[in-house]
Amino acid sequence: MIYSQPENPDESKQHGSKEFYKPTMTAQTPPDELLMMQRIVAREQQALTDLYDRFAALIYGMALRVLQDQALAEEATQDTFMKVWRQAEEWDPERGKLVSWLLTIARFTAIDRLRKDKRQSPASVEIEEVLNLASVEGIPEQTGMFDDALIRKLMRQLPPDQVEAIEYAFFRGMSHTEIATHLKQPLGTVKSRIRDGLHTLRGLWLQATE
Amino acid sequence: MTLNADSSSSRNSTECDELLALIPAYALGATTDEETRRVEALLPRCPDGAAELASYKALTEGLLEGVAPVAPPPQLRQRLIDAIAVEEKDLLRTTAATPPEPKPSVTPMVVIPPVHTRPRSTIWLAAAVAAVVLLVAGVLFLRPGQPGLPDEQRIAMLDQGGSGTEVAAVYWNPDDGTARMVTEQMPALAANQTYQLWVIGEEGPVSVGLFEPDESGRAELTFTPEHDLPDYDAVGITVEPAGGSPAPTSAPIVVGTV
Repeated sequence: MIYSQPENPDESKQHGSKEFYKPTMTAQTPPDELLMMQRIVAREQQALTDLYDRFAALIYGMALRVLQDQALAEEATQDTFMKVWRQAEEWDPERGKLVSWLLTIARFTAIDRLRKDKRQSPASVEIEEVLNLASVEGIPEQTGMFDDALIRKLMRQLPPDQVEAIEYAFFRGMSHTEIATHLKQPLGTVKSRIRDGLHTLRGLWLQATE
Repeated sequence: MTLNADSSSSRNSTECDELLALIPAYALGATTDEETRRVEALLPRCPDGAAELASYKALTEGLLEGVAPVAPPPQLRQRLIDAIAVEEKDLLRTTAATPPEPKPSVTPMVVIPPVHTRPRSTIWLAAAVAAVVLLVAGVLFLRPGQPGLPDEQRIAMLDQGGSGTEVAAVYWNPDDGTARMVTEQMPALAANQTYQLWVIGEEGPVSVGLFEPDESGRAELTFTPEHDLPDYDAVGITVEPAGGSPAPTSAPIVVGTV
């Protein structure tokens, strides 16, 4: 539970309304986003538009990263927000931030679309494109638990083949076996690249944030 | 005995090593189906597994948020707005035309359960806090002087899913604590159905009455809520079986935020 009741009952009346709850720990999702989701569950369409205005650039960025195609990314972005509209009640703030939930839906929606589009074989991962990650000007930065610029900086310290394997796994939804087949590499090699790459990345992140 | 214990311990150590080796890929979603089943079978048996998995899942959250934002084409916004409006209109038509089927369990209109009974309550509790904070900050405010009786304040506009089309209004009289819902355009329902009005606050949806429109689609319902109406978060209308329901059995057709 995030919030608790005030110790002094009279304190609850000071604003002339119902009990005033005080947070006992920092909520990860900002209050205005919590309220936005409540309004969406209440079927307020303007709330979904507000959510779109807040997060569309991130969602579209994720879809584009996976699909590498603007038209498909547009469709996946619209699908993502439609899913949020229909399933808003399923989000549980105790399990993670709203932005993580949204990006997870976007990632899986885009990966599903990638798999359905049988004409597309997985586009080759351009390592430099993956690592060249300046934010687009004018897009508000999303604050989160992770410093997104730091993650990108740390990825630069990994060998390119490990970055490539992580990219295929996470942003193309491919399993070890599928990556090995696509890259024409031994399965064990791919498994090692993913395991070692993430292990190194985790260590770098822990060092950088101490 | 000692030999068996050593064998068992050794096997467990091997299995935990196997688990720890698979966890990074599992967190990334890169394991095959067989590997996924293996991880999930081994996790309960290895004391370090859960913590290891949690740390890699946190890392993948960082990968999620490390994606660069890209502004989508401007026309996508309106396309989404239009798609939502069409879907909500279809839902309204379907809900009004279809007699509700008996359901074994109730589908709440808005999940605002008591805090101590539902672990998923925090979104609503936290959102209610946010609403209070915004109320205090003056973002939400009563709007006196809107159409209605002289002493009444207009609290909410009930529109079809928030599209901006007003189909009902709720007026609050702070002097005598009564409220009045007025609508001019509700379609007639089947004989075994009724409209039910709810106020939604911390305790969840509470019924404040049933109503049926006249031949012109007009209806009015006066009610006295248990608390001051501005203390609630929303008001809503659902279609229920004749005689009403103790809790909403379907999605609302009209909702307004207080």
